[in-house]
Amino acid sequence: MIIAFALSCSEEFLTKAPLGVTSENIFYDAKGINALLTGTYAMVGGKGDTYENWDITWGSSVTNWSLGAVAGGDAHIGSTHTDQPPANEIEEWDCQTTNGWVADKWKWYLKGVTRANGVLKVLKGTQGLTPEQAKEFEAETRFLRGWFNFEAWLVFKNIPIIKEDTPDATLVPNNVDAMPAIIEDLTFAMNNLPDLAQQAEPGRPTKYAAMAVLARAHMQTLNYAAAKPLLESIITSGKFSLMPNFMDNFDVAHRNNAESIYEIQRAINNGSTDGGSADIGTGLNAPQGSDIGTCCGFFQPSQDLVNAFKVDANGLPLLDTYNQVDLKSDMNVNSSDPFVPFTDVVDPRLDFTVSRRGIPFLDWGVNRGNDWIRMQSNGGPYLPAPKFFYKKAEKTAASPSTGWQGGVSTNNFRYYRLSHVLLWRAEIAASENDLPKALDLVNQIRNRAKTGPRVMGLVTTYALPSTVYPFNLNIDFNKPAANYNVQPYTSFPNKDYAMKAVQFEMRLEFAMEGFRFFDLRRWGIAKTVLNQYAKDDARTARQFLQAATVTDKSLLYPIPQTQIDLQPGVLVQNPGY
Amino acid sequence: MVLSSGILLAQERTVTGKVTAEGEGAIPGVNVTVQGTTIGAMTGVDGTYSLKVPGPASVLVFSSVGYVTKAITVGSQTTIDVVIVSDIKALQEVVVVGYGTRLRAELTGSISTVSSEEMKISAVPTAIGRMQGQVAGVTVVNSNTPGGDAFIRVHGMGTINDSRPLYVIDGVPSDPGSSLNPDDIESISVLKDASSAAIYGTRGANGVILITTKRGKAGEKPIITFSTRIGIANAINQYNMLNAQEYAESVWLRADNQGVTRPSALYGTGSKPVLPDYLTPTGAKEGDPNTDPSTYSSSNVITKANKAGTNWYDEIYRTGKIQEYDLSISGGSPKSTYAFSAGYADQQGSLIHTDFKRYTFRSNSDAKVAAWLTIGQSLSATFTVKQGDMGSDGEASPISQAYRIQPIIPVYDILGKFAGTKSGPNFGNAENPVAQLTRNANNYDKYARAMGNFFAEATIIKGLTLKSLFGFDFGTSDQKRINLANPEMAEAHSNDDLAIDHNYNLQWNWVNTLSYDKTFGRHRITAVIGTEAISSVYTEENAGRAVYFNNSFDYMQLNSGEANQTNSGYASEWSLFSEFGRVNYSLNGKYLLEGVVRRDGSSRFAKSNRYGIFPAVSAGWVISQEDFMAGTHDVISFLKLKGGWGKSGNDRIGNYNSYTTFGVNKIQSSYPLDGTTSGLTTGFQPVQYGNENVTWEKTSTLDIGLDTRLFANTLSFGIDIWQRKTSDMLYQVQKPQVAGVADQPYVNIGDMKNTGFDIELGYSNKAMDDKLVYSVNATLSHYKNDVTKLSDNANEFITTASERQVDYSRAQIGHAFPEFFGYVVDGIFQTQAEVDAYPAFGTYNIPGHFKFRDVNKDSKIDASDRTYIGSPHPKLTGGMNINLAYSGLDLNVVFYGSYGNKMINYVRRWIDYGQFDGGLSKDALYKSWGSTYLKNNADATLPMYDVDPITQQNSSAFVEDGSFLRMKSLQVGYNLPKSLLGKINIENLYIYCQATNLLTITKYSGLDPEYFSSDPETLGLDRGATPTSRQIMFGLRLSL
Repeated sequence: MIIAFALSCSEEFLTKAPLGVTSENIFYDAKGINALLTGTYAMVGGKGDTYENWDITWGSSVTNWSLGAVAGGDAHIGSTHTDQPPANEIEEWDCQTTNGWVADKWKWYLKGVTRANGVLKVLKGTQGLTPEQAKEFEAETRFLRGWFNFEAWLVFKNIPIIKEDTPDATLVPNNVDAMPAIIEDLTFAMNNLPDLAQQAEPGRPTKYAAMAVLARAHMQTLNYAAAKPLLESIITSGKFSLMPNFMDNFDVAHRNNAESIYEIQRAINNGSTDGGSADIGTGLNAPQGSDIGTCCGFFQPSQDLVNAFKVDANGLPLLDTYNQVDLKSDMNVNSSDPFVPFTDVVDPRLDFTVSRRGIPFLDWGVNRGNDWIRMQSNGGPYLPAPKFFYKKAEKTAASPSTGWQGGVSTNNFRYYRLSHVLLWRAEIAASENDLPKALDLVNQIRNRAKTGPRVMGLVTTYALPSTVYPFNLNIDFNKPAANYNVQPYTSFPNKDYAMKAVQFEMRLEFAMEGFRFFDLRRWGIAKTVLNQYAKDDARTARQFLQAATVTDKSLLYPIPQTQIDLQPGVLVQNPGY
Repeated sequence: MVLSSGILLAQERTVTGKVTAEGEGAIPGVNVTVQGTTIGAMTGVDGTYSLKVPGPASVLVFSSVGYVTKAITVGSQTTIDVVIVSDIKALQEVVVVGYGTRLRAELTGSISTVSSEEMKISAVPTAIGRMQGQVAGVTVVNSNTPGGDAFIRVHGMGTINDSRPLYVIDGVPSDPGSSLNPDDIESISVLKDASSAAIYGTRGANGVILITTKRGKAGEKPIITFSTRIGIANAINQYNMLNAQEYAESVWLRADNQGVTRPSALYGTGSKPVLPDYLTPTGAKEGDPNTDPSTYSSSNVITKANKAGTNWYDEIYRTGKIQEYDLSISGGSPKSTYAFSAGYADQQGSLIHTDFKRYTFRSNSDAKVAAWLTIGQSLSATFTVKQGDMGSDGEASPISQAYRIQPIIPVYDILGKFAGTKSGPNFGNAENPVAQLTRNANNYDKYARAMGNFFAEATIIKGLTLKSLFGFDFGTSDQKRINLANPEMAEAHSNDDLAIDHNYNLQWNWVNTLSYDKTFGRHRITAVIGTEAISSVYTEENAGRAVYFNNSFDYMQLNSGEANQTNSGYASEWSLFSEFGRVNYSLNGKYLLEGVVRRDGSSRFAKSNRYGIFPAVSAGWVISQEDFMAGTHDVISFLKLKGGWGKSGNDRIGNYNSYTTFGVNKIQSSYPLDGTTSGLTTGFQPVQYGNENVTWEKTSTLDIGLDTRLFANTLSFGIDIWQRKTSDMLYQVQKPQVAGVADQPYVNIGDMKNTGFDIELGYSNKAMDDKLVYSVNATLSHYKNDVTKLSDNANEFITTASERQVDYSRAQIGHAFPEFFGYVVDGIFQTQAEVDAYPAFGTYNIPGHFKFRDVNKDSKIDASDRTYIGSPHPKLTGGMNINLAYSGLDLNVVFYGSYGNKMINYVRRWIDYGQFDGGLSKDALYKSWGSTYLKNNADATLPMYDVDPITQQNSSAFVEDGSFLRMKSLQVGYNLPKSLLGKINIENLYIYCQATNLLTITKYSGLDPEYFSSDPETLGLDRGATPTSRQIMFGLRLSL
């Protein structure tokens, strides 16, 4: 009897559906599609982990700080030499096919693409949406898919394009040019996304965002003809203007400003001690120890980058000779020993981009040099700041509170802004020998630097032992922290000079922002420039680039070996690996 | 020939008689043999026998399973009636098996037991921990944090998934953890092979551990027992670290090796480093105006250098006090029994501010309410509290911080606040472990549990019993952890945080069995059929806050936190419904047969794959009962050959593998679309791809064993040789990321094989007119694990353990799960010429660096030269337990050892190779290549100290022999004489002194070769864990 009773109820008894999660069938309406779409937006900043909370995936950060900025010679990996072996491979242009940071990028792009495809699939199967709604959803989703594919193209070039109706994604080869599909998605997005005024939420793209990404895709293949009208449309739309202050593009207060075309939104303190949607991908890059006490001292600007900010008597950069002599640094000088910062004249953007000894660092105090660096002998004497760092006064609101992750912040990453568009347009003008146009555009950027604020506070105390409260010093806040000068060019004598000036301006304006390696590659000068950089870097008493060389192989990163192993005969490794 | 036959014939006569046993009447099936001949007969149903004996000198031997063998010289008798007595000691021993009991002598499966006496020997607070070394074929490793669970595996590693056995306590499936009082345990049975575990179906594949608690005995007068044990525990090992001066030299050695400028902020610019007087102000000397305490401020946290060097281990180790008290009362009237007990244990850890307390209560009773009906219950209530920092394993644990922090850093600054890595340059990123343990001192994990069962047993007709048991296991845990700001640390945590976790689990099971036990002459049949339903639900809630007006532990509650309001939760359920049956047949106690079948339905699998059937058969042959063995009985008291085959399952793959799910996540699926710094729009992400086709792992076991007892039961020997094949092993096959990135479902694809043997050997005897009683019991086990398939991809491997971007172990076909994987080091390059002649490894190869082997012989060294470099699996493990008793005095010694297992001492990556700027070993300074202390670089045991990350890749240089032999326990006790006790109405008083971990023989360089890892994937990877402590204890047991 007992057995019979038990048998009769067992089917119901044995059915236990999962709790606290759901299945796909609830998403087939506008609310559901928006929920899946939001889950796709969550990926734009570069979260490479599977789905867990706080993912430790530094290679996938959309800022490309390692794959673009470090590999481009703007910075060293920093920290101590044993901290992150995959990062050393990136710095030395010698990635193994097993490099975990590179693998994170691959995983991230596919995580984004497959989430976007999930939205499109549900969208196609949903009845009852208005045509406008459906179009908006599709445009946003395809913008995102184009975005993920393009970011992957930058790093790997040879990527499989997976679509929502691809019957078996595991059979899609990576030896078909991915660019047409990227252009198709971004073009659709551009044609169907709303104008600025209609897009209420700044996290969603406008047609100009799609235009900017599409323009960059064309720039990356040097398809100037295709890029030019897009850039012109943005410039002539009148919707965007340069902010008066260079730092407006980096501080928390001026998020989503008039210069901004598409930003990666970040938020914290939203119910998570772990930093919410802030970018852990840059989580290693805050100053370690000493007066600031964050972590982990990665991403230290190179001497080469610092030298690039030198200006001549006319306030113009030294396009060809900037790196022949190093600006004086405090390498191997103890904080307690006196060090007088150089008095050479530099572009004021230097001290917004690089933190160096004797210069005030936002409101955190005066950079005390060696004590602020995790290990000078590994990463050199500089810190990345204040471009990417929050003010001390903002700390509680702007960063999570937990230990080493304290450097991560709510600050948006202004990925695409009018300044990019202007300088890309200048590059095209230079290539067309339209020198007045190129001059005008470059000078718009330089004039902003000229008229904008400087880092203020001349420090005349030269020994900076641990006992000095970094602001309790003899500082004249009425004086600039260093000798600054930046002036517009008076003219471009010829096409080559113009092109060089445009390229140099991009480096100065966007230093440390992850573009450099990919820019050098598209200009075809990566090997020359970077091998010279490696050679010159040996002057700085750092040892680690002495044997490093950029070869043809280094121009693309390797497809992760684990994925090739899983798709034998489908995925092909990049040349040379 | 003829003559002699004639003589024999002349004296031959027939002897008849009847064999009875006290209280039992006639005994059928008794072997009656003439000693030294093959002549024999067997008693019939009425206990009578008849046989011809050669003459008066003949000796008749009466033997039967379960009875003491008796020998009688025939002499002139023709009728010999014999009364035999039960052999309670060995043969009548009842062993708990799945849903029933069996006589030990009639077992056909591979089952080992641990008695309550054996449980008393160990000083470990967990019941499972006390099984170490007592059972062959079972690996037990204890956690050394107070109240930490022990880790147990039966017969090797049965799966790449969860390989923990199933625990059943008094018929209720539940893990004893650290909340079961070992003093309450009557016996433990370990069902090792599938023929005995198949009755547990989908859950039996990794062995079953049946725990039975103590009950009273009918008609027994009340026995009151009080026992206590009080003692101390000390951690006994430290790494051999550099002192402050030596450390300064190592900093310069490294700079010289790297060719960079020597850091001078602290140590000056002379030819030898000179230690400063102060760390803050950096490198200041006495007399510096900034060292005046009046200048102390948040930016001048004046901190003296500890020139003598802080021994961080001395700072965090302490003498922990241990106390245990147990009181029990048991007894019974003719119709009812009872057993009540209460226990209290307080085990302070050997690290400061760590503590474990356990309060246990138990009541077990039975009542015969009618001649045909017995009802009973078991009920236990337990409350445990773990307090302090219980981080035991890994680089963030206090034990690891103690090697990661430099010796020049003092524990406190001049104002008595904690000092740390922020107090000077290049101090790395360690936490002050004293600060860590002190700040976490109040953090707790409280666990309240009630479990037990109620049952009724009805005898329908003689031999036919119906039993219904309802069991439950309810537990709720309450954890509070505060994480206080640590401004002295380089990577400081700026706020005071609170995290609260609550969870709740409730499981019930209902078992109904019908048992039959009937003897027909020489045939005995026992059978059981039954059903079992189990349902389990688990929920948890987590919440957190940050920023507190006051950081006292009591003030810090969820309501008082000002920022970072967080909360989350989780819930899951599963259920199981089963039908099972078992039949045993015994012919005359000599030929034994058993058949088992179970049908399970599990909620963990989709409807179409929900049900499975698990059969098993086994047989035994008591050879010593055979007539032809009759002449050997004075040597071979008992000999049984047994063998079995069975199939059982493993369903531990999470509860919802068949479902494709989407979920929300603040970080991974939400985005601040509105552009605010704290607002998030919630989105969804794929969480898991389901697989409806999945079913449980199947393990089939073949086991052949021999049980013998020799020389009048003084020597016992048991051996089991077994093979376990796991098929349809569940594996999350890696899917290409192009197919989407979420949790992949488990699929049935892998195969694994374990083979091994278990030996149990015992000898016990008496000497000196029975005044000296002694015994030696030993166990010895071997297993070999082989992954025979992981997926359809023959090259598939699983990276099983990684630390800081370096992979340490893998599982792959043809290897054990797991094995260490890395480079092979063939020494250290001594000269440039040697480097030039060697295959290149990028720019790594220079004199002083490792010479990595070109394993694939492609004339270059790279990641493809990594190979398998050692197995963490032991070739043999064993225990030995020696007992001596003489006139009230007794001595007990327990040894435990492991042979042939390799370990990776990951800690050396920090202390020998300098992963970060933290504490360093003496070897790093004195024995590394290029050290000025080395007369000859060829004597270097370590490569050049230059923190090259390639040197720190996993290699054979990190692999060490983890074999050890440890004296686990030494106990001397004294039973006070009855003559003395009788006067004060005490039945029994035993006092003893016990010491654990007195002696360890090992070559392993880490803190403890007995390294605890609860995760099989990290087997053998020593990431720095609390070492086994040495305990010295005094105890007494008193019965009234």
